[in-house]
Parts: sequence; C-alpha cells; structure tokens
Amino acid sequence: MISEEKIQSGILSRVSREDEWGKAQQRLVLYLQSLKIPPFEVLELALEALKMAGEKWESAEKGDPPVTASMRALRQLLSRRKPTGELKAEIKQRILILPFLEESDLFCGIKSMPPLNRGTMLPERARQKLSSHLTSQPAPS
Amino acid sequence: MNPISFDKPWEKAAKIRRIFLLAVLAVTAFFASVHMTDVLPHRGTTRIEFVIVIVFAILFAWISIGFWEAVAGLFTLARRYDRFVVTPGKGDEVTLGGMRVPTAILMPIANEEVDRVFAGLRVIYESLEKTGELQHFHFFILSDSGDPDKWVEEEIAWAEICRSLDAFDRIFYRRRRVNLKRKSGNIADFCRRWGRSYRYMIVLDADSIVTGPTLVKMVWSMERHPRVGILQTAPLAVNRETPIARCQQFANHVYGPMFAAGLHYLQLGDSHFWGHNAIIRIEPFMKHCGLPRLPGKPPRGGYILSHDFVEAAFMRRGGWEVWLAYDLDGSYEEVPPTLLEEVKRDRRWCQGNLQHVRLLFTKGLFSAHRALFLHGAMSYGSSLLWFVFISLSSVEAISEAFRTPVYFLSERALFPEWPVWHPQWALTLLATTAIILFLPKLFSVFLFVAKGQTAKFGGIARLCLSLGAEVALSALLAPVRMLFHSKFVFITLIGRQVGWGPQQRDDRGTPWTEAIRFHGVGMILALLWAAALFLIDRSFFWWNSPIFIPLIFSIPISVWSSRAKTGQWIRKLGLFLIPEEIQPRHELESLRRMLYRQKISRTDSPRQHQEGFVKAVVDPWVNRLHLSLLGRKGHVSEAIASKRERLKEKAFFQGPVNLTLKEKKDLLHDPKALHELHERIWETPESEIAHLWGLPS
Repeated sequence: MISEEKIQSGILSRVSREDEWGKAQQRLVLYLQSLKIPPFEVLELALEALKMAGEKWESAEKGDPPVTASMRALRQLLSRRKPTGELKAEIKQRILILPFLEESDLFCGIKSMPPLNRGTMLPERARQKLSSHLTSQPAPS
Repeated sequence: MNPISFDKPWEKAAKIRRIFLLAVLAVTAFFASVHMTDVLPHRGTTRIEFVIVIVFAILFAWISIGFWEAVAGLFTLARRYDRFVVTPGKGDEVTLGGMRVPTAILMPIANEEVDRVFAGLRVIYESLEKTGELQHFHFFILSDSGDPDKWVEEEIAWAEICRSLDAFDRIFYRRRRVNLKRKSGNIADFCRRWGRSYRYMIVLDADSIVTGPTLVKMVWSMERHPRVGILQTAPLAVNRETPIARCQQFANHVYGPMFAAGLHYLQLGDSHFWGHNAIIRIEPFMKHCGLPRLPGKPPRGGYILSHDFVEAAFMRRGGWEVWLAYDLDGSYEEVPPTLLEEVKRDRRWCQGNLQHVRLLFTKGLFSAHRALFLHGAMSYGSSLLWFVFISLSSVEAISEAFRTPVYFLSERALFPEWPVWHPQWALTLLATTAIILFLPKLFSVFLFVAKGQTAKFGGIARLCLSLGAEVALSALLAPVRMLFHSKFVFITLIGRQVGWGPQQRDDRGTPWTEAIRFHGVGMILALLWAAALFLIDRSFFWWNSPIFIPLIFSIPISVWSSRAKTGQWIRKLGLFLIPEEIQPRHELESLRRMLYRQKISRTDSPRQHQEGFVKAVVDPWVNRLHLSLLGRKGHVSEAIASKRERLKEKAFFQGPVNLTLKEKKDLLHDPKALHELHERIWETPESEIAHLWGLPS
C-alpha cells in the first residue's frame, strides 16, 4: 500500500513539476516578447521549445530544470532560423535579432559607424614651452 | 556654385574700427578716472585711493566696451545694410545642389539626458528633411558617456531613431572608451576617424536646435566664401520655465541681436567661436587647430578647457577667417535653469578663460584674438576687480572714520587739505555708469519699436515692463554672481582645480539645502560687512546697500528664481515673453510635444524603469544590440579573463545593485562575459536570482 506521505509527496512533486514547467513557459514567452517577435510566432516558438525540452527531460535521468532546458531548446530553435531576403528586410525594420554570437552581423549589416577614413590632427607640438618653439604662419594675401 | 573670393577690404575696415574703439575707451576711461579722483577724499593721493582709481579705470573701460558694441550694433541694424556679411541675402537662391561631399552634423554628449538629446536630433533631422537637402548631411552622436546606464540608453535611442526614420546610413553613434581632452578631444577623434570624408562639420551641443533652412544656409555660406574657416551663428535661448532662465532668454532675444551685430561690426573676420551652433571647415581645422597641452599642472596648465576661443585663434593664424553670422536665425540653445547651475558652468568657463592668458603672447596670433583672450579672462576677472574695488572702498571709508584727519600734508603747506567726500560728484559718476550699463537696453527696445516688432514680445507695454523686471532681477543677481566669480578666479589663480559633471538641463529647481550650502558663507559675509558699515559710516552703508542686500537674501533669491512654477506664473502675467512663445516655431513646438510624449510613454512598459545596464544584461533585444555595436574583441590575457570570470559570478549571484560603476563598465565592454551572464540569468530556475535581475520570479 502506498503511504499517504508518498501520495502527498507524489502530488507535491507533480504540482511542483507543473509549477516549474509553468515558470518555464512564462520565461519563454517573456524572452520572445522581449525580442519583439509577433504574438502568434511567440506562442508557436514557445510551444515548440517546451515540447523539445519536455521530450529531452522525460528521456534523461537527471535533466536540467525545466526553465533551463526550455531556454536552451528555444535557442536551438532560434539558431535554425536563417534570415531570408524578406526576413532581412523585416529584420532591418524591426531589428529582430537572431542569436548568432559567433556568426557575422547580428543586425544584418547595420553598423553604428561609417567606414573609417583616417587623417591626422596633431596637437601643437611647439606649445611645450610658452615661447620661441611656436611656429608662425603669415596670413595669405 | 562659383565661390566669391574676398580681397580682404574687411581687414582694413576692422583695423580702423578697432583703433577708434580703443581710442574712445581710453579717453572715456581717463576722464572717468579723473572724476573718480575728485570724488575720493584724498584725491587719489593715498595708496588705497590710487589702487581704487586704477581698478575703477579698468572696470569703467570694461563696461564701456559693451556700450560701444551696442552703439555699433544699433548703427548696423538701423541702417539695414552691411557690406561685410557672408550669409545669403534675400535674393540669393540657397541650394546645395552642386555638392558631392556631405556635411557632418556632430552632437558631442557626455552623460546627458538621452531623451532630450535624441528628441533634439529628430527635430533637426525632420526639419532638414523638409528642405529637400537631407542627402547632403550625416549625423554623428559622439558619446563620452562614462555612466554605463546612459551608455546603453544611448545605444537603444540610436537604434530606435534609426529604425523609425530609416536612417541607419545617415545617423551614426560612436562612444569613446577613453574621454581624452573632453569635448575638444571628442571632436578631434571624429576628425581623425572620419574628417577626411567630409568637407564641413556643424558642431551642436546636447541642447542645441538648428533648423533645416539655417543648416543649409550655413553650408551655402561656406561654399560661397572659401576662405571662411569657421562660421558661428548667434544662438537664441529658448525652452526654459524658471524665472532666472526666462529673464536670460528675454535679455538674449531683446539685446542679443544688437550686441551680436555690434560684435560683428568690430570683429568681422576675426570673430568668436563659441564651440557650438557653428560650422567648421574640416581640413584647415585638422591642420591648424590641434590644441596644445599647456605646461604645468591644472588648473593653469594641462588640457585647455575653453577650447573654442583657442581654435578660432589658431584657425585665423592659419590664414582662415572666422565670422559671426549675426543675421542668421533658426539657431537655438538652452540656458542653465538655475543660478547654481549657471555658476557651476561658469566655474569651468572661468578656469578655461584664465588659461587663455598663458596664450596671450603666442607667436603668430592676430591681435584681435589676443584681445579676445583678454576679453574672455576679463569676463570673470572683472568680478574680482569689482570685489577688490568694493573692499578697498569699504576699507577706505571705515579707516577714514577712525583716522585723525591730517590737514597739512607737508611742513611747508600754507593751506589745509580737507578730506571730504563729494556725494554729488559721486552721483554724477554713478549716473554716467548707469547710462553706460542701461542705455544699450533702451537702444534695443528702440529698435524693436522703430521696426514695429514689439508684438513679438507681447506688445510695447509688456516689453517695457519685462525690461524693468529684467533690470531689477539682474541687479539682484549681479552681486551674487560677482562673489562666485571672484571666488573662482581666486581659486584658479592659487592652483585649485575644477571638476565638473554634466549640467542639469531640466527645470528641477534648487533645493533649500543646496542653496544654503552654496550661498551661506556669502550671506554671512554680507551681513558682517553691512553691520560694520551701518555702525561706522551710515552714508556709505546706503551707497552699498544695492550690493549687500541681494547677498543677504541670496538664498531665497536662488531658490525662488529656480522654480518652474514661479516662472510659469510670471509668463501668465505676460512678462519675459519671447517671439518663440508668442508664435512658436514648428521645430520647437515639435520638440516640446515629443518630450511630453516620451514622458507619458515611459510609464507604459514595466521594464522602462530598468536601468540601462540591467537592460543590456537581461533584455535580449538590448543585449544583442549592445553586443553588435561592441564588435568583436581581441584576445585578453589569462589574468583579465580570470578577473572577468569572478566578476561574472559576483554579478550573477549578487545582482546589479552590488556592482560598482567600474564593474558594470567592465562587463559592458566584454561581449563574452556579458553574453554568458545574459544566458545564465534567463536559464536560471532560482527565483531569487531571477528577481535580482528584474525577471518575474
């Protein structure tokens, strides 16, 4: 016979597991909303990530906590999204970010600075002393 | 566009005008000093009285400069013709069609209010867009912000503005890691990196607004006059609500155009450069205007703080002209909102201007610029001279009360010397001084009346009432400013340094505690001085009451003049109205609406309240944006990598509140550490840690 304690701890364990997955779901949605992804895509991606994480979690003996597993699953999903031409234009407009830290341009070519065109601007060397080292240039006529 | 070349007739005209000015100053100061010796009891024969006369002569000459500038300005504006302008006339077609090289518009900032900076930028951008000449301009936000939160907020604001205006190829953002030489170094850094890609740069302040048509006219003028190195506009003060700032705005609008015209009349191509709201030809600037480091330690040595005057002098030395576009409107700035913010700004300007004295005898500089250096130093030095004058006069008056008169100064004197004050002569001298100080104000009002433009200030009655109120408020504030400026000059001369943070640019008001801290000592000194005069020399007490009364009441004056609500009440009374309030300019109205909308929208998103640093760590969008702008980093040493690892652990477990500014900046500079911290926070199942970083737990 299963003791009441075991039943209670089983219920608690199931409840706390559900809480954990609920937390994971909230975390995923929050993350995707922060990326300014449209709402229907947010729910789609969150669900897919939860499924991926759930499958891995069931099969593993000691898996990561649901939140950790879900976030990693989400990153994997996002990394598979390659920007197409149409998406690139969308990205430029919405600045949708794809987490390619190791790849090139996260903003698809958007830079905050133009190409360098270096020149020199020397400080007045002759001002080391306040007298005869200063050079003078007569004004052109 | 075919450029017109000057054959420099202006140089001859400028020489004649300045010689005339010097002669008039010398003569009037001489006669005033002679009159002063007649006023004094011993006719200037004692040591103290001799010094008083010398100081008086200098001060009288100093205030006379303003008077003659006003006369020159009145003459220029009244005749409506000036053969030496470089700006477009009414018949000129102002387009930039032939230009192939864009102009850079620079906004150097350091820990400013991000909303205000980018709202101003947007207003300028949209105004320029309406002119149809936007393709000839690029914008640069050059940040020296050391505050990690401001840094990230700037990046977010940059991305947002570029996205909304589709301007990624037109609005740029650069943050310097090392704030070398402050603003001048910031501009120089731009020149070294991108100066060769542009012909001109227009330098703005964080609170500047310059309209699109004005920007186009500035570039047009430079194209038309190839020998002009710097063209400075005369910005008008706007957007303030506090009584002191409204008073200054009013004064700037009423007297400013006349004084600017007068400055132009005397300076012509040897003009001022004020460091902002000006256009600069980049190539000669890079060649000639690299600033030296003065020998010795700060404040007298080291990097030059007030770089603008020196850059103008060097530009001129290089053979290029510096002009004041006094007749170009559409250029605006904001003045400090409170008396204390104004004196904080003056403290660094004072140090910078006094440094110029060390450059007075630099070889190659034109005499006009040497005079401008001296003029800049005297802007603050005159306060110390005034303080010395008052002190010596008081000492003289007090000592006369205790001294036994000596009627026969030498053994063989036949007749006695009566040491007598001549109050009626003193009144004559006072009246003359008052005329010199106040007549220019009447000139300005006269000009507006003559041109039928009093409606710009709410009508002639309001204009006159505002003039009276401005005179009254300025008279109240003058002794307070004198005391502060004297202190700044003194501490700079004895070698103590100035530090400064960003200015408070909004109308928050001065708290009573801060007012007591800054004005308390001056108030006590004024009370002691007044008490001494009251007990010893009653007539001298009354003569000096306009000076010590404002000092005694400096605390409430400072607080009252900083209150935006009081300023709004004054505005409702119709005082200190300016044309931009009667008929608001589109750009300024647009700015006001934008700032209001930003204030409202800040309450909508719960994460808006997060600091910039926290957003960079937690918010995926901001994190990616920051990492993208950071670019790739090279290899770091093992020691640094290990230090960063420990920092990452500390940040993760203790949260942002336990990180120092330096630690936050170190994290923001390290893309790997920042990214790993970001992932770890999102992946953590620990509610407490998530809560530390603002995630729902």
